[in-house]
Amino acid sequence: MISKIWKSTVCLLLCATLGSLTLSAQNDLSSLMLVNTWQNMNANPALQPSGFTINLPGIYNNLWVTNITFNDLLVEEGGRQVLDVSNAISQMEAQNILREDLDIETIGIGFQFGALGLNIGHRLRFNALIDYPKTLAQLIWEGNAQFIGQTVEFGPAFDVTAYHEFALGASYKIGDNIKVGGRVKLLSGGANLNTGNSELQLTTDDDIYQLRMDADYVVNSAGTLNYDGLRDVNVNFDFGNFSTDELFGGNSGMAFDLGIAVKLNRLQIAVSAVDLGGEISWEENVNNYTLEGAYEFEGLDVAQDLLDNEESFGSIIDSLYDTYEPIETSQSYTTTIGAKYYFSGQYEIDEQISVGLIGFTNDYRDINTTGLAVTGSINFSPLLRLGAFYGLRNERFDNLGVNATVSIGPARIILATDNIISAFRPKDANLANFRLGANLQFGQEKEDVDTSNGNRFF
Amino acid sequence: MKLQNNLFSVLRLSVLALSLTALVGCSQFAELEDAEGSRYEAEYAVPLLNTSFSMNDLLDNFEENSVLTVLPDGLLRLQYSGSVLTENADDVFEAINATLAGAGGIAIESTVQALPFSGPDGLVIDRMDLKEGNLFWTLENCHDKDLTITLTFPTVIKDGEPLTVVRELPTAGVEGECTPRDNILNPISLADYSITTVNDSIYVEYQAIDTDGVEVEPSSGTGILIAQLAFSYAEGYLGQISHSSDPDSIEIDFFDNWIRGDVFFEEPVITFNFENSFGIPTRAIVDQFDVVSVDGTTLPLESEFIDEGIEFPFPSLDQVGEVTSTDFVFDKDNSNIREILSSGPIAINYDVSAATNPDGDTDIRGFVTDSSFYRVLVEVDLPLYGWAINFGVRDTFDLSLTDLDNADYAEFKMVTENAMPVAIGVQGYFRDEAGNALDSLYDAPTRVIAGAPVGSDGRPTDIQETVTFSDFPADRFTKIKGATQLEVVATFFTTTDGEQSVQILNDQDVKVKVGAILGVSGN
Repeated sequence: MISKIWKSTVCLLLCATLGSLTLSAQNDLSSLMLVNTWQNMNANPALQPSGFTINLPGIYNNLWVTNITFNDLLVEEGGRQVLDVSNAISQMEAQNILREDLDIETIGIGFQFGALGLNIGHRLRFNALIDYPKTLAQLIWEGNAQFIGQTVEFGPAFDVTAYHEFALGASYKIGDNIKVGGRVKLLSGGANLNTGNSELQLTTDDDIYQLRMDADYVVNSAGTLNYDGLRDVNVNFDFGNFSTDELFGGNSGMAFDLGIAVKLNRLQIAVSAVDLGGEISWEENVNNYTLEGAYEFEGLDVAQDLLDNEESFGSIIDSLYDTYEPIETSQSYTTTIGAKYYFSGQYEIDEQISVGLIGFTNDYRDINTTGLAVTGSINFSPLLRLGAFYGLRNERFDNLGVNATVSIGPARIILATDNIISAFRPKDANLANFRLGANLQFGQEKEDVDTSNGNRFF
Repeated sequence: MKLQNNLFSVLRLSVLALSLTALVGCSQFAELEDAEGSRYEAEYAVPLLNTSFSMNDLLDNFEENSVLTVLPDGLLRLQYSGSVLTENADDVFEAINATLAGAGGIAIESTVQALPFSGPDGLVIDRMDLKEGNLFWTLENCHDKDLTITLTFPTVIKDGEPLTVVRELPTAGVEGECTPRDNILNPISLADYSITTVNDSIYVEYQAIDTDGVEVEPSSGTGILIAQLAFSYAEGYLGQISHSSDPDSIEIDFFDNWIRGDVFFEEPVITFNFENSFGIPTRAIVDQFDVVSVDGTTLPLESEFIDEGIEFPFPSLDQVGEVTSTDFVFDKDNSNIREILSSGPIAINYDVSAATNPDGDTDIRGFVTDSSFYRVLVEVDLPLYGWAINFGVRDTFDLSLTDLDNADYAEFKMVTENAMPVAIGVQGYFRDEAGNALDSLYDAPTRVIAGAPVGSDGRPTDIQETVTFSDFPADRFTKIKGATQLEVVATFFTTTDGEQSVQILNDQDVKVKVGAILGVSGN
C-alpha cells in the first residue's frame, strides 16, 4: 500500500531513467589519449587536430552505478532468474549514485590555418544523475516497519537532461610550445526532469505507525512528466524520440570550454575546463511539483461512518494519496551542466611510446567524481595507435582502459573504453564506458605526426 | 603483414570489447525485465484507524426512537416518549348540542315557559356562550284585535340585554282565522349570546297585549326553533365523561442488538406529563402499563398511583383559557420501575384513559371552551447511571480487504484510550458473502478497551489505555481476504464489573487507534 505511493512518486522516476539507459559508460579519461582527434578536442579545446577535420557521427556512453552490480540484483533460483532485491539493498551504502552520460556526435568540422584553428560541431547529450539513499530502496522493497519509532531520510535527488549542444570553437598556437583554445556552446534543452530540493523524511510512529512526512521536495519537469494525481504518473523520457523539432526551443543555455597545452621538450602538459558555467533555463512545457511541510496520515477517522455502516477499509489508500498530493505550478527553472576539469601530462619516451598521467574531476549536483590514471600508448605505425591506462576512479581500483586510433587514409576510427574489465565481467561491473567515433582528416603534415622532437602533440 | 595482422587483431578485440560492453548493457536490463520473480520480504507499517467516539455517538447511531440529552450534571440520558391520550372539547359540546337539537320546535303555550332542555348524563350547565346558532320563531294572532307580541329570553343576554322579539300582528278580522308571522327566512343569530340557567332551565316569556291593553294567551301557532348551535364556552357541572384511546406502546431500541448480559439503571424514571385547559376535575386511569423485556416477559408497573389513578391539574374558573401542566413521576420510591427496567426492556405497552369529575361531586363547577384540550405524554428516562455486566451486542459492518490483496500476513495493533467507565470486549467474525464465518478476529473475546477507573460517585477519575495485538499469519490472512462483512460482538462491562454503578457523561469518549504491519514477500 505504502509502496504504491513511493513507487508512484519516486520509483517511477528511477525506472524511467533506467529505462533510457540501454548503453553504458562515465566521465571521460580516454579522450585525452586520443591524440590529434576531434574527440581529443572535446576534452581540451586547445587540442584541435591540425589540418581540416570532419567529425563523423559517433557515440560515447558512460554508466556508473555505485555499490550494486547486476549480479547483486539477479540470481538464479530453481532454474529461473530472480531479482534478489534484498541482497542488492544489503550491498548499498547510505548514499548511492547512478550516473549516465550519453553523447551522440552528429557532425563536426574543424580546420586550422597556421596558428589559428576554428571548429564547429553538434552533438546530442543526455545526462542523468540519481543520488538516492539506501533508505529509499529499503522503504520500497523492505517496508517501513524496520523504521518504526525512527525518522529516516529517503528523498532521492535526480537530474535527467537531454539537450543539443552546438559548439563554436577556436584554438591558437602561441609560438611552438603553447596552444590555447576555447569553445562557446549553445545548449538547447529537449527534456528535463530534476529535483530542486530533495529533502524527504519519513517518521513511523511507534504508537500505531502514524506516518509523518516532512518534505521540502520539488520535482521540476520540462516535457517529461505527465502527472494527473499520484495514481496516474507517467514519465515520457524516451531518448529515441528526441527529435530535431526540439533544436531551437525555448529551453536554452550556454557553456564554455577553455584549455591550454604546453610542450616542454618531450613532456606535454595540458589543462582544461569543460562545460564551464553550463546551465539551461527551462521555460517551455514546465511543471513543478512541490511537497513542502509536514504531511501526516494518522489513520482514518471513521467512527461515525463505521457506525453508519458506510465505510470500508478501502478508503485508506485514497486517504494516503490525498495526504501526499503535491502542489503543481508552472514556473521556469534553471539546471546546471557540471563543469569538468582535466589535467594531463604526457611524456614521450621515444617516437613510438609515451607514458603519462591523467587527472579528472567533476562536481555535478554536489557529487564529486574524480579519476586518476597512469597511461601508456604506442604507435604501431602511422596507421595504428594503441593506448591503455590503469586508473583510480570513483573510489575503485579496477579500471583498466584501452583505446585505439586506426587511420586508414583520411579516415580515423576511434575506439575507447575506460574499463575493459566490464566487457569481460559485465555483471560484476559498476562502471561501463565506451566511445566509438570517426574522423576524416585532411591536410595534416607528416612531420606533425612523426617528428622526433615531440611535435606530435601539436 | 605482421603489422596488418596485429592491426586487425586489435580491431577485432576492440570491437568485441565495445560490443560486449554495449550489448551486455542492453541484455542486462532485458534480463532484469524478464526476471521471473523477485526475492524480497517487506513489512509495511501503516495506521488504519485513528478515531474516537463517545457514548453519545454510539447511542445517536443505534437509538432511533430515543432522544439523547445531557443532564445538568453532564450525565447522559436516553428518553423515549409517546403520546398517551389527547382530548378536546368536542365530546362535551357534542353532547349538549345533541340534547338541544333533539328538542326540535318548541310550542309556546304559556307566558312563562321553561325550554325542554336537560344536560346529558346529568350535566348541569350554568352558562353557555354561543358562537353560532339561529333562533326561528312563529307568532300568530287569532284574536279579534290587533296584538303586540313580545318574546323575551331573560337569561339569553347579549351586551347586557336579553334576547327580545317584539312584533305587531293585526287581527285577521274574521272569526276563526289567524294572522301568522315568522322569521323563517331571516332567523335571529344567536352568536355572541350568553345563556345562563335558572334552576337548571332556560326560560322564555311570552306577552301579547291587544289594543285595549289586555294581555292575552299565546295562540296555538306560537313557537320557537333553536338550530345550528355552537358553543364557545360552557360552565357548570359538566358530568362524568370517560375518554379512552387505543392501547399504544413505546419501542425501546437500546436492547435491539442485545444478545446477553444485564444492565441496571440506577435512577430510571417514567414521567407522565399532563397539559390541561379543561376546567374540569379529571383523573388519568392507567389500565395497562407493562414493560416487555428482551426475553419476552411482561412486567407490570406497580404503584399506588397505578391503582388509584393520577389526578390532572385543571384551571379554575378564573383561569379560563389557561393551560395548566404538571409532571407526575414514577421513580424507584413510588414504583417498581427500577426492577422492571432492569430486565432489558424493549417496549412499554400502555392503555390510559381519563375520566372527568371522577368523584361525581356536582358542587364542583367547571368549564370548557371550544379550545379546551388535555394531553398526556409519557416519557421513559434512562439516565446512564448504573452498571452493566456482560452486556453483549452484535452488529455487522461491511468490509472490503481487497486493497490488501498483495499482503501475505498482517499484525494489527490496537491502542485505546478510554475515558468512559465501560470496558468493551470484542470478538469479530469475518464472513463471506454467503455469511460463512471465515475466521475470528481474536482467539477468544478480548477486552480491547478497559474501563476508566471511577471514584465513589461512579465518575471516572482517569483515562485507561489498552494495547492489544491481533496476529494474522499467512494462512489465516489468506482466509479473511474474501471477507465481505465483519460481525462484531461487543460486550460491555462497567468498571468494577457491576459492583458499583458508574456514570456515563457527555464529555467521555474513547479513542481507538488501529495500525497494521502488513507483510509482503516476493518469490
